[in-house]
Amino acid sequence: MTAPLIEVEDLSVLAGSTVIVDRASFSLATGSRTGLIGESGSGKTITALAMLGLLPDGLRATGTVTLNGKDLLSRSERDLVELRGNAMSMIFQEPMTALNPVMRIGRQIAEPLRMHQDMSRPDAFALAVELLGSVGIDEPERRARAFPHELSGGQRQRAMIAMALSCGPDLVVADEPTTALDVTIQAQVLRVLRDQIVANDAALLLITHDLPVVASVAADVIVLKDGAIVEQGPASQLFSAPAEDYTRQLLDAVPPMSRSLSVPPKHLPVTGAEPVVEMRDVRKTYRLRHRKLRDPIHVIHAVDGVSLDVLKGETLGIVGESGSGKSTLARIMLGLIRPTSGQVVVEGIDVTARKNLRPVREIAQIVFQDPMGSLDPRMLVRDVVAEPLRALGIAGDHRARVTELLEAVSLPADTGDRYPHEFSGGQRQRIAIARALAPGPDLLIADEPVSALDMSVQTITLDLLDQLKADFDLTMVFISHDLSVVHEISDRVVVMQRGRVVETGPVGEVFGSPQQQYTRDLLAAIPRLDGSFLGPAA
Amino acid sequence: MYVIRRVGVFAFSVFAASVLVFTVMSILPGDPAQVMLGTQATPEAVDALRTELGLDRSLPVQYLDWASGAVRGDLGTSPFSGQDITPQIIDRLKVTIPLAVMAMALTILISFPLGVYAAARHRRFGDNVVSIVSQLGLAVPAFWAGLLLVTVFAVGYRWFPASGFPGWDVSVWQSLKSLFLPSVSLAIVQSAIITRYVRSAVLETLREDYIRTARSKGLTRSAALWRHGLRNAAIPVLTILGLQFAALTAGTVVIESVFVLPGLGKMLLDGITRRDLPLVQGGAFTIAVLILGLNLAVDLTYRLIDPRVSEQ
Repeated sequence: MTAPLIEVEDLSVLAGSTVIVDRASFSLATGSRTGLIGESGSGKTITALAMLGLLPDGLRATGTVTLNGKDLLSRSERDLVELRGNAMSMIFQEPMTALNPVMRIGRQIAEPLRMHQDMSRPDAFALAVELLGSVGIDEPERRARAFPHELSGGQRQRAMIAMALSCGPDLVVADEPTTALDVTIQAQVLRVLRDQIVANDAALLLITHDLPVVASVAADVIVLKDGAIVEQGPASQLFSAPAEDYTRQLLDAVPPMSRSLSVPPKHLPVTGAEPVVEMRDVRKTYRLRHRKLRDPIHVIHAVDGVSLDVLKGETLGIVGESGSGKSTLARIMLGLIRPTSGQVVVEGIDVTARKNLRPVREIAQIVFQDPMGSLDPRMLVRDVVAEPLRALGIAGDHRARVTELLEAVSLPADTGDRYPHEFSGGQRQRIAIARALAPGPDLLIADEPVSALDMSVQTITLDLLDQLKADFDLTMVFISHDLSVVHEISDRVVVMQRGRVVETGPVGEVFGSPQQQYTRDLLAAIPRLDGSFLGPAA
Repeated sequence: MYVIRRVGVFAFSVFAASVLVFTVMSILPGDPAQVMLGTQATPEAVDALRTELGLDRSLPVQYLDWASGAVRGDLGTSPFSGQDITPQIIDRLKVTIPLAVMAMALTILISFPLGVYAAARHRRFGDNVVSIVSQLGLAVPAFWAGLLLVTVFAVGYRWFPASGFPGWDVSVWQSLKSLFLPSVSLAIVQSAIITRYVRSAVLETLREDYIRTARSKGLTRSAALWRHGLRNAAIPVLTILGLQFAALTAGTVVIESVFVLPGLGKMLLDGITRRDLPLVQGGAFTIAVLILGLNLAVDLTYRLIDPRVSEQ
């Protein structure tokens, strides 16, 4: 066997005396594709940053990282600068913030070429255009002159891949490269990433919390837990017969849809119930200001003629990609956004009338995606949960009610006396759920409630929502871009695209035998644990 | 579209400022006719003069009269001196604008390097020194700094004149020299403020993801800061520069008195003590237009720095 390209031995990363990465050892061969998996806080990103010598201030790495036989950790910054972007490069998660907003895409891609290969400005730019073409961007010449905000999320991430590969690196580290993208875009970007890595004969270290994504791209897997490597080996072996309990737990948390598209749904549709929500031909249009005087006025149909009922006691899943209008629809249901036209009635109350906002709030409540952003950091959890009671002027013993609610969402009794930042993402989402339940609503709308959570926490949170639905006698609207999550929790599903309902029906029917091409495309884009969904490398 | 909108906002603000200045001046006690004739004048004489000056007309008519003059660049006549106001203001601007520009230039020259340096040396010795110095700068009132500067550099070393202004047509060099100490005293406080903003803006940018991306491409820390950081950091700093330039222009009123400079601020102060209301009105309106024009310039500069601005 040839010497490995990169060899990591006893790599530890310390913040003061806190151990973040604990004696990690692994090696990557030339042209290999390895997944580094683990839950948030397991030290995946820090491991990668340590390898590139890019640790944030205050963190210190020990051990050895050898690239092509030379140790990196003992190298001077001057030597590392020569290697970064050249022999090793990195693709980051959020391409909007990871690209410089005030510099044209082409120049950002050309930058490593100018530095490492002494290319002239026009030559480097020409090559950048070529690279953009090779990652599948249309009109690469024009996109190269665009600023990051003028590109879509998928295009930005493709540009990021082009940038990382520009100098033909031996090692590419990709840190959650598709987590911020829609499922169909994710499939395209993963395919480009894999094909480009193969074409360049580079080694890939793919960091992700998403096991099916790893299975699609990587041949080998390293499992990280609390900074230490738990298990490593070939993906096929590790995913079929894990040796460690922790790996098995991670696998168990993978939604059934990622194993097989033909799994039966957990829930059957409710029949013969009264509608709680009735929407009739609801539309919401936004007019965009024109950029130039001669531009036509741009009208966006965020919600474009939607009619649907939510039946008492059911969980209605709404799936769609970003921009499909699903969140706008949820906010219209709550009266947070007034529709341009159409009727919205919740338990007989016309939601579109401003005077009805207060009664609607007692009936319908919402849980948002980001449990950090949607909780006031300067309020005690007790006050956060009690706030809807005060705001709606609901009488009674608020303190007792809060205790009862926190217990219902399985949070410890002392939770109320602490602040939101003291809790993990999953716990914060429970706080948000407790707050939504405070006024005793009949209808709970959950807008991407588990998208920011680790997979194992997702499962627990979904089970909790199911339990609460039964305990509190709720009707639920569950919105997500993630089909497998919707499959887990819904009785009935609505598929949305560009503001319209494409397909609707019981979960088993829509996912089992989709009638529309769009639904089929969405289902086909779900990464599969058997690694089959990308097809063979080009 | 962005430019048209900004210019529109500017035009409306100028209109609003003119109404505001005119209204405030009309409400203030002190009848120009009475002031001109002195306390001994008979009521009949005052009334006659009021008619002559047009002060007996309704306020909207007076406003239209004044505003239509202002549009043509005619701000009326001072009842106190009987001279046209516009040429006086232009004369005064020849002192105040160079003074403000010089003070701002000094501010930028001092605060940009200091702020960037402090951010690059975050939480180390250099950063702490800059912090302490800027605290001191903040604590020093401009007029007191002025007096101190005069004592040392005008009275002690005799490098600069202590007060007065020879005039540009007499000697450009001497005029610049007499503006130097006043602009330094204005620049001290401003530099202290701007240094802090530059420092925090640069620190903020250094934490951005794209700086990490730049370093992953092989840029050194300082190259990442220069090529990717500074232009991004300039966006919030520009906002503050605009606001502080306005504050600085207001600060010239005090400094012109300390250094006996024939600027707009000094003219306003004299006008107020003499109750020369039309003069004060013209001066105040001029300052308002200057500051609004400056804000317009800042808004238009955003577009050059930040490609996202014009699309919102």
